[in-house]
Amino acid sequence: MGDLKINSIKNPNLRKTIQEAIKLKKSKKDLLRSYSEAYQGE
Amino acid sequence: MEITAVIEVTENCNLNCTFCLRPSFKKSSMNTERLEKIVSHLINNSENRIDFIWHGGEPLFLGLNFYKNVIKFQKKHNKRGIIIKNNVQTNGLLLNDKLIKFFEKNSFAIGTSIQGTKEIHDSSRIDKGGNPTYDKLISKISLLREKPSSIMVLTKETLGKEEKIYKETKKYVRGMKISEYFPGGLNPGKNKTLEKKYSVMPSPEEYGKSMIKFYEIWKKDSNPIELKPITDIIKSFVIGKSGGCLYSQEVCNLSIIGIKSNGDFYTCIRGYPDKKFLIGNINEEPLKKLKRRGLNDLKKRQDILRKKDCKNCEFWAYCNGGCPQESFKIYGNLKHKSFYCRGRKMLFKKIREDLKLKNDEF
Repeated sequence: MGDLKINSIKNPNLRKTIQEAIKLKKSKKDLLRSYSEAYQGE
Repeated sequence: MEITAVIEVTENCNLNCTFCLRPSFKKSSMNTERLEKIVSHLINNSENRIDFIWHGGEPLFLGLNFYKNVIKFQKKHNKRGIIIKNNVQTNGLLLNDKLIKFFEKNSFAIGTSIQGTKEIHDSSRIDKGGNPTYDKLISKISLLREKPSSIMVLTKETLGKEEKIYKETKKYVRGMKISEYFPGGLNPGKNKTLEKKYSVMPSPEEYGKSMIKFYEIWKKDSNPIELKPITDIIKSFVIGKSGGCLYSQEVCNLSIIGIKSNGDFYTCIRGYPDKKFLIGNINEEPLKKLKRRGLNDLKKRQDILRKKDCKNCEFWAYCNGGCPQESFKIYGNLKHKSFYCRGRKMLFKKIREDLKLKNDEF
C-alpha cells in the first residue's frame, strides 16, 4: 500500500470500506479466508 | 490448511440459462455414502475451519433429507470442534417453507443468481420450457428471513443498464457479486452453441466501462450494499494484496477446491472435466495431494505471466493475471492473462485515482 491518507477521502462509502480493510489488516485475520467467506460459487 | 469446498451435488438443473458455463442435465447426484465420506475427509483435513458451498446444477434437487444428512455427518465427524460453515448456491426456484426453516435453523447462508433486471433475467435465466423465472425467484427469496447474496454475470445484455440493475437487485439482496463471463469449451466459431455464447461476452473495454459505472453508482448510494469484486478491490489496495477469487491464484489453487457428485476432487470446480485439474477421487485421500499440486501449478503460471503478459504490470498484486481456468477454457492452456485485462486496469486506475495514490506507491 502506498501513502493512503484516509482523511483526504471524502466519499463515505470509500472511507467505510477502507476502514474495514484497515481493521482486517490489523486483525491479522487470514486474508484468503476473509475474502473467500462471501464466495458463493459462480 | 483451511478449505472452501464447492461441492457440485448434481449437474442436473431445472433451468436452461442461455449463457450457462457448464450446461448439463445429467440426472446423477451424490449418494449418502459418498456424502459422508466427503464430509468426513474434508473435516479431518481442515485445520480450524471448513466452508461447504453446496452447488450444482441445482443443489436443491436433492431435497431436504440430503441436507439433514449433511448436518448429521458434520456433527458426527467434527470431533475436534472446528468451525463449519454452510452455504447453498441455488437458483431459488425450489425453495420451500420446510427447506427455508431448516436452512435458517442450521445457519446456512443462501446465495442466488439475479441476472440484473427482470427483463434481462427473463430472457436469459429461463426454465427448460423457455419460461421466464424472475417473478418466481423473487417470491421465493422474499420468504427468507435474511436477504440472500446474489451473483450477476456481466454480459453484453447488462451493458448500459447498470443503474437500473443496481437499484432493482438491491431491493432483494444483502450483497451482489458481478462475475466475469467466459463460456466453457474451446474454438468458438466451430460450434454454433459456443459461438452464440461468445456473442454475449463483452469486450475488455466494455467490461471496464461497465464496472466503473457500477463503482460510481455504489459510491453515490447513501445505503450501499456489498458490491463484489469492487469492494474487495478497494480493500486489496489498502491491504497490499488481493485475496478474491478471480484476482488471486492463491485462492483458486490452495483454498477453494471443487468436488463432483462422484467424489472427484478438482483444484477448482471450473477445472472439470479436464483431468489436468483432477486431484483424485474421495477413495484416494485427495487432500494429501492438493498442497503439492496446487503450489506447483500456481508457481508455473505466475512465472510465465511475470515474464510475458504481466511483465512490469503495476497492478500485479491486485490481479495476479486473473483466473487460470479462464485462460484454459479460452486458450487451452494456463499461460494467458485475463481476457478482461484492459478493463480491469481501467477500474484499478479509477479506484487508485479516488484513493489519491500515485503510481509509484504500489
